[in-house]
Amino acid sequence: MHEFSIIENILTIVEEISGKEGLTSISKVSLLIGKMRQIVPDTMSFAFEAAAKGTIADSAVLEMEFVPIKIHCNACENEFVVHNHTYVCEQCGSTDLSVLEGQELIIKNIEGER
Amino acid sequence: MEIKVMKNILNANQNKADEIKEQLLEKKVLMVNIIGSPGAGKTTLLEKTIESLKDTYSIAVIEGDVATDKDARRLQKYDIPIVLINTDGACHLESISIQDALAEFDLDNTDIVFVENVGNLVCPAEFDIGEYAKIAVISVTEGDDKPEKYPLLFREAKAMILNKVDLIEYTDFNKPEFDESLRILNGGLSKFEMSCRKNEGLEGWLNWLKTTHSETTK
Repeated sequence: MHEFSIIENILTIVEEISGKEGLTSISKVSLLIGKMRQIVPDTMSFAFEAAAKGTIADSAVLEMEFVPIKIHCNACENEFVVHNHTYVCEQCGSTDLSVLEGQELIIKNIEGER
Repeated sequence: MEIKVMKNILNANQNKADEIKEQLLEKKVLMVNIIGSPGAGKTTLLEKTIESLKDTYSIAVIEGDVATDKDARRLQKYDIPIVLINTDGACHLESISIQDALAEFDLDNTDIVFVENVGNLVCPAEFDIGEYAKIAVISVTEGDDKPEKYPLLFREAKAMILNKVDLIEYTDFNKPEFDESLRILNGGLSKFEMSCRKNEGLEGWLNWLKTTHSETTK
């Protein structure tokens, strides 16, 4: 249920930016979420709906784009996408890997009216 | 109108976590974040670990608990500094409360800080609290499928403790499958098997702590 905590952080940032940009209402908040993150989309939407009530994002839509887990193999320099949480190099079998993408938890953009 | 943001949602937590990391490095303190289900044996692990190390290291504990002070009370007998964080229902600890807790300790005279996170395999794995290492604690009675079901924790952890191995014959725990799922998730994971209640098999874990402490506080 950490989704609620994440949503609170999102609303804080959204309100901060709205203030700075002079927005009066928000219609959409778009997120980038790495697939390593254990985010349940339905729980996120539910938490957003509940927490955004009475805020500037009251009627906003929450859009979530999921980012595949992209890996660099430190043994053979191969780059690949992880499926089924298998962190083993497809080319050489090494488990000495660096995660390039897939850990994101980012507000990509917001849409609203001035 | 559309406004490009590209801002890390957990920035506030991450900034505090980074401050903590810097402070602990400067004070030469090793902090580990102990994460596991309710009943996995996190507090018993702490008891046995403290008993073995308290004569050589000065230890402090941050106890994360949803509502009670039961775990903190269990550790009072060791006469070490303990700070209890009641999360009032929240499922994990965040770096802001850890920073406040650390301020209660005399870090100049502390070697190791153990953080017992809230009993949960999901949420605590998402939040950096400034620790050097996350330690996953799991017991054989929970089943061998936990790494597959909670991949982030086992991927992020530097060490994993398999507890209650003395009970394995009474369970359906499939050790080869468990080992294989850990290998494909996190090939660099240090793994220790033990029975904390019987105080058996802790040597590897204690040695790992000692080595990690000397390597990270040079």
